[in-house]
Amino acid sequence: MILKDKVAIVTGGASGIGEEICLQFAREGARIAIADIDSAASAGVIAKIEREGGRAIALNVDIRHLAEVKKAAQQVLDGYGSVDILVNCAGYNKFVGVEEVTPELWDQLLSINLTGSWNFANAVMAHMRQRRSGKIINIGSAAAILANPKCLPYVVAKHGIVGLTRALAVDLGPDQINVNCICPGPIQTPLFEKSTTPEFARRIKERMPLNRLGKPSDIAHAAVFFASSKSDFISGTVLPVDGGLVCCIRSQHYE
Amino acid sequence: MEDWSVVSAHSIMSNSRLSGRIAVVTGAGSGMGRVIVSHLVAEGARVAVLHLDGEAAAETVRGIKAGDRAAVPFAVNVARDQEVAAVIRSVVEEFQRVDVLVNCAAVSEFGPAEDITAEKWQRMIDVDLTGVFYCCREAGRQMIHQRYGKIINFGSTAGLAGVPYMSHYTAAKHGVVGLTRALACEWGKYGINVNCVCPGATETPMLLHSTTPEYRAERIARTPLNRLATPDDQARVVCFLASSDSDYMTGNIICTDGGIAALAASTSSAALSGAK
Repeated sequence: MILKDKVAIVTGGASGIGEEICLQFAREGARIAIADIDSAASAGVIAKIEREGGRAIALNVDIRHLAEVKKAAQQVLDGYGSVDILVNCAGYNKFVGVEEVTPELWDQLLSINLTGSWNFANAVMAHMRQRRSGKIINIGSAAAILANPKCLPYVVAKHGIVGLTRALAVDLGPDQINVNCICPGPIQTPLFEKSTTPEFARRIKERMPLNRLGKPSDIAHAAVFFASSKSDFISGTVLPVDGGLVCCIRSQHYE
Repeated sequence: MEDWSVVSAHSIMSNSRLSGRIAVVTGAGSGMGRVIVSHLVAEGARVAVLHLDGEAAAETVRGIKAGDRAAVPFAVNVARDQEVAAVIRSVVEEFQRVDVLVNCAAVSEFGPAEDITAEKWQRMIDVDLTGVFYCCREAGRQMIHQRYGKIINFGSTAGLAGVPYMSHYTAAKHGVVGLTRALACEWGKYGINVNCVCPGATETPMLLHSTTPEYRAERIARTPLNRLATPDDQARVVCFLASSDSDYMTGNIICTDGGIAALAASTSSAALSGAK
């Protein structure tokens, strides 16, 4: 168990990639705090973790508001005594033409995808600095490296996550806090299935070198690595876990 | 020291950004190279037209409607060390200097990696990478001596990302990107700028010869600007990099690709219709 006795906060931990990260972290011995707006789903994940003998709690928090986030972080410190790992996984996307990006949508997507991540890092960094140890893992996206059409605010926010990762790595590095970013490609999650058609999924697969959608466990494996001491000399990196998607320009007629 | 009369002449003759400059263009006997030569001449440069086939180089020169010896043909195999050294000597004899080098000579070919023979691999690396190095080295010596030079290498979108079924081409073009950066770092102190243009699919004889209409249609559908590049698109960027307009740019990789390098490989405007 490579995360034995560590404490991890996972935002967006109640479903999809975040859920799988919670489960794998718990199996590696970590105690989990799930920050998610869907409290029923959080309860379901906690039940799964407890059935396997692990420990988890739910944080009732809107990640867009720093005061709430700070209160939630304090709740974890009170309950578990420390915060060793933060995974910023909460995210949200909406496909929309550039002309239809309203100020409200812009604010909504920037605040969930970007401000929320900064809020949680902000809320735990003093504690991590004091202990001279900590692991912050931001979940970006292939859209943090390249643009997908028709999701401008998401692309902007996720590119911002890369900047946040590098800036935090630089500023928190002297206190031995590692900050890294994982960029998932298309992953088979409830969110992905809800927002795309099977035809879309088929076409995406055709263009990916590994010819399949990712599984949440593919991302969780990378998160375990960045959370563990195996990555102690890695900071400020951006790791695509994407089946080869962003390294490839693919023209199907030559295959 | 800037001579005011020259500056003034430049601003009066709007098409003379490269007036008095001597340019060397490799691969100048066909496609993109040929169009680049005519743009450089139109901007006021005199050009050494280099090509593997001397007759093709001469054909480019015959197509130039400009003053006597504005363009002069030379035959050279860029993959041969001594030939490159000799041709640059001849160019300097003819023109006294080399201000601009455009490395445009390249071969391209599709094929599954498991079927690429040692000979095919070697030919690709020899022409597309080693040839660029030889030309940079030989022209570079002259540029160091002059304390002035503009080197423009042709990479490709395959210099920035993997292209399936073009593993040798991808490897060579990634190499050109690395070479560009290394030379920029090394030769900056001599007043030499080294930059790399990475074209997307460009309507050249090489492309038309090596791809199907279906391939090109599919490529267009995925390109944000919704068209292939023209040789003119590439030549205009070359002229910019050859001119003093880009004097503070070096080691840069410029994608002239209609936006395709900015787009995630899985998506296109067409694919997007699949999203709910």
